[in-house]
Amino acid sequence: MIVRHKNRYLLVEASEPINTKDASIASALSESIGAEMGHIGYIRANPKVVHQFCDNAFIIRVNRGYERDLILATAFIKNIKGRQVALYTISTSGTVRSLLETAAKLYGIAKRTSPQKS
Amino acid sequence: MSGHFDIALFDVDRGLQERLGYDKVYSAGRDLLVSSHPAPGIPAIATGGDSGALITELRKPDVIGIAFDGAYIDKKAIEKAAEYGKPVFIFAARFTGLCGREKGAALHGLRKLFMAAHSLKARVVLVSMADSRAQLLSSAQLREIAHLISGGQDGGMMSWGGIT
Repeated sequence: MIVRHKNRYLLVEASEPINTKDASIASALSESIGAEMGHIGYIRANPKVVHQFCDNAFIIRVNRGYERDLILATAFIKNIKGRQVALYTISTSGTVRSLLETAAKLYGIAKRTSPQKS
Repeated sequence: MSGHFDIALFDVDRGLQERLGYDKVYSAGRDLLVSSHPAPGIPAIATGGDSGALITELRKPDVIGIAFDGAYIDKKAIEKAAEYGKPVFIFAARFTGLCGREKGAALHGLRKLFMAAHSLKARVVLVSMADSRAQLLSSAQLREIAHLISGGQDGGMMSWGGIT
């Protein structure tokens, strides 16, 4: 029997604008998360930014079962690439679509189509 | 709305309060005082490292709870807090910015505080007490930190019910 791999998605807001599409920022963010979760925890959770819909809010995909570890890790991140930045986890969901609906309500942005597959 | 409250050392705008999952983020200095000798007439959290002084402050009706300075834990003060039905506050901003071993040691100390309070049937409440946006935490993050400190025990750390 093939078991479907399931993910969870976290809506994260940064205290300052950050561009996660910038490779160096994305790498620094991954390093910060990895430093908090530890190498093994990071590999197990496999967090990845999948969608940024405004200057300081984005969606992180994580393997199901490790979302609480990621919430904890983001609570301890206070610095990304030398800049003082805090990350707040706003919401958690099993689908990107529902997070985008939440984001549309919270940030007053127009509903977007699904993000690019990565 | 989640029924959660937090305390910060600055005014958090209403939109951010809602996004972070709080009903209200109280502003220390305006909505309540955090002081070793709080003035009467305003709700306050008494802080300090002296058992006698904390117990004296606990008797005052305006004092809503106590917070220990640093790694100091006093069982007598915790016992009195339980007797008066007032919580022991933990300020997350004191340890979230620490690195490596320092953070580990701080969390270990807080677990000892939690275990002492839990055995004496005192309530323990975690609030951010952030002095800037960089120190703020969402209610989900506070919940996970509380879970980490309490070791996931039943009847673990409670979310603060706000000023009543």
